[in-house]
Amino acid sequence: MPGMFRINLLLLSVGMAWQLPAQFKYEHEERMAAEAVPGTARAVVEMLELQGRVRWYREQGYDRTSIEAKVRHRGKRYSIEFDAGGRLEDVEVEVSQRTVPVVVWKRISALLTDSLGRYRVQKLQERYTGRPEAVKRHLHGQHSEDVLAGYELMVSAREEGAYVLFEYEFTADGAFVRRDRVVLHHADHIMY
Amino acid sequence: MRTTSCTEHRLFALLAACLLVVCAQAQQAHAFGLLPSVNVVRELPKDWSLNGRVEARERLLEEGWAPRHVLTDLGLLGARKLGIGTTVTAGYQLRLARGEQAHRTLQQLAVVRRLARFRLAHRVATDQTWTGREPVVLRVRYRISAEVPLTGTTVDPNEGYLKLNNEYLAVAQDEERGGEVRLAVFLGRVLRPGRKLELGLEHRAFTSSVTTPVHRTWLGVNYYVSF
Repeated sequence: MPGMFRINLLLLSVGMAWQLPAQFKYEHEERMAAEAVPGTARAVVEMLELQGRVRWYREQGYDRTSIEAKVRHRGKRYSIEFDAGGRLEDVEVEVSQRTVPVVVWKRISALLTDSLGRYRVQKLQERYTGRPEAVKRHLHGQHSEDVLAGYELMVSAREEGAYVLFEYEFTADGAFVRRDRVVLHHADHIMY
Repeated sequence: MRTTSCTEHRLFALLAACLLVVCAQAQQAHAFGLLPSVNVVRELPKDWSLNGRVEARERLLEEGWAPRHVLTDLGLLGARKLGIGTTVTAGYQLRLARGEQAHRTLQQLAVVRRLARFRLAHRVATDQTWTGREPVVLRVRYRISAEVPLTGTTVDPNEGYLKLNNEYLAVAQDEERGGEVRLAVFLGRVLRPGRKLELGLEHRAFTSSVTTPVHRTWLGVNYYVSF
């Protein structure tokens, strides 16, 4: 695959309360033309009736390839992810902390504090899965708890004296699912 | 279907066309030259880093073809992260120009933010320059920079990007006051992790209380090394 680039997967033992193994999150993303997207994926995005221009990306992870549609709808950013064959995997939408139920947020923040100490949430997303029709109804206001799969957070914290960025996944009721460490890109060319 | 390399080729051609226009203009109105630089960042433990920089200025055109070496800057800065995207930096730069030396101390705060499809950096800096013969030159600067990936939403190895800079400087020396506005467009490529090469144009417009406005355009060639 053109532009493909491998990195080694490292398992880290984090010397904190959980002794939690964290993998490095690796994703290589490139734009793709709508014509190259499987028809089933394009049909789902059309059916969701989200306003705004749709941009398609091919995402290459360490062990899988996926297709992602990104679109801005009513001021919110949506990421609709499909497997390589065009089957819907999930829909993610950026939200603010206010939208998370208080009980769930208390559980999440307690887990983060326990693991990281001081931390800062850089991004929070809700994840929806299920039949496309059910997801569509939820996105257009007919809220359904059945489609809410959970939350994805980008969190920065200090680890062994250095700032690091983690991606966390929690279930809809705030139970921990996984944590990956995000590889940061150098910014020397825009800092100096 | 357009490929990444096609986009880069088109941007490069546009840059070359702008260069020809600037060269033609420089023969009549303002100066044009070459601004090569090498920037090396060595990351240290606990969010510290060292930045070494060499930059030269070569004037090529000024009322005709008149190439000459203008100056060389040698800088060494120390930096510390204050947050995931916030870095404070301080350092020293030696300027060698016309057989003389000028000493500069620098301080800067840079904030880099990742937006949906590009990165934005704000840089506030101050510097003080001594020559020993003239009053110290004090400058305050603000620069906004954008790194726009040419493919995807992040710039990965073997991928290109567009860098846009806009900087404002206020200058004071004794009773003299001046200001400069800089606008730059660069086409860059991540050759491999920690190695970037950029080519672009930077236009500087300087004005002061004692001189008429001066316009200079530089062809910038930047090489960045991080390890």
